[in-house]
Amino acid sequence: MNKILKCDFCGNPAATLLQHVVEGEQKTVRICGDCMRKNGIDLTIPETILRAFELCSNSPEIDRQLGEVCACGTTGEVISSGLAGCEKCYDQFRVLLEEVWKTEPPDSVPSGNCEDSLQAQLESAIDEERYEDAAVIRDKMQHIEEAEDVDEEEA
Amino acid sequence: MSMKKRLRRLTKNPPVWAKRLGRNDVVTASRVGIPRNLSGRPFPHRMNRGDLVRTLDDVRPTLTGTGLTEYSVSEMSDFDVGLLWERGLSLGHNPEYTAHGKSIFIDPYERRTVVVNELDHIWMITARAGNRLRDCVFEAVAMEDEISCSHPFAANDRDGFLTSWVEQHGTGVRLSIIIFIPAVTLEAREDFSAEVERRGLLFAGPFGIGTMPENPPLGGSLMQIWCHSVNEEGTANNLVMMEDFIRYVTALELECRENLSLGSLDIIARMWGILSNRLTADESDTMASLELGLLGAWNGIIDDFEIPNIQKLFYLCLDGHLMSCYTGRKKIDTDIVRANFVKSCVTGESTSG
Repeated sequence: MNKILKCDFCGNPAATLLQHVVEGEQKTVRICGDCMRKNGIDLTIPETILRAFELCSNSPEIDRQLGEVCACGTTGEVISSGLAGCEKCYDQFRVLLEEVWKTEPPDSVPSGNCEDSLQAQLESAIDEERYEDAAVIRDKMQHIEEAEDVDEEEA
Repeated sequence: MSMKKRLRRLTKNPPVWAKRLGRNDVVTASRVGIPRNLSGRPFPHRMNRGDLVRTLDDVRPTLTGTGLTEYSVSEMSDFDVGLLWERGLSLGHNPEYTAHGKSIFIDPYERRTVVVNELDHIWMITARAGNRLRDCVFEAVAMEDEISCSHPFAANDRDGFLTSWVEQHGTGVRLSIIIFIPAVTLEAREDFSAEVERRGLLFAGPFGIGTMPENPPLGGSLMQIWCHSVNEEGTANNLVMMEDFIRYVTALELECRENLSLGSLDIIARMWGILSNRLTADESDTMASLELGLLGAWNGIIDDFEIPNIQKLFYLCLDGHLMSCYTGRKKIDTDIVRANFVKSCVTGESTSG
């Protein structure tokens, strides 16, 4: 599964991960297309890429973990690969993994089910004396019941 | 019996996802996957060859003891690996670093599969034809319990079960179904894909994420739907969500079949006519025609053949067709013999071939 990184500027999903070594320390910036445009960052012009690092600096803990190596051989690149190498990686790269896990939550899941909804539509159609519509809804419900009956028989 | 013979025997029958397609079957197969790692060892992609083999040796007695048969990947040809992938029995990652010490353990009915040393030490898969997701979950959990008795899994209180893909930690339980929705596709119901996204589900091709074809005729009508939430929601909640989705998609497909527009009916009739009279068979055209033929038969638009026969023919062609889409395997039904065979099945007339 693809992981979703959040943009360090706006929090939206980031399409680009920039890495740069400053005074022996690796710096990382996650940035989305919108923020690249807004801040005049062009990947073909190195000066503008450096501007991204000036505008946004990592927390010291992120920078520290980016430079670490686990006993299994996994490095701070776990943030871009999304692959842990052993159980201990989950502790050693905790701050980096929390960055990876900052995904957008799915929209709320609807409650109730389709049959309930169809039943409500059927009652409404009968109340309003739309009998042709009611017949169509009734047939739909029968189709679903038949399909479920077949499943139960097979089981 | 040699592994080669066992493999041939296994692949003689249709795969689980192609065993079932009745008039009211929208869900053709259900599948549950659970990745787990053994405690106290590096994950497979951080292991050397010796460690991979030792891990396999450690779990082998437990897995064969539950009635599973071993198929060693290192002894298989690429074609055989492809066969298992096609049947949903391999994960398809197959990266270089796990080719060694990797085996797939399968039961004779392909309901339970355990892949050892793929991305994680153990990947349990349960699968059933038709809408049987709940059964798959129960069976997967039972298998997990059985294995964990002798091999404790890597886990901690804060993160749950620990996996190679850090986004799969937690329960790790992945629910998926394969659906066949020709009428929704024909009617171009864009609200369907919006609804899938709104529910936080994922589309995938018939053989998993990354195998959604771009243009073939079945690209839009046969697909997997994945529930990828493994952390924030419990398995029980995800199961309820998937079952609710199944009710939704079943109702939508049946509604679309009933409401096929005049233009769609014309397409069905035209394609069916072409198939019944053709002299050569292009693979894509054949599948498009067969799919439309099924739709026409289910809807009572075409009534000059037996539905079970056309269903058999559809699946006979489907397997090879889909694999050729993804793997570039040589297409086999472009010759006149194939065309005559399809034609004879459709029209009921014998041909000299």
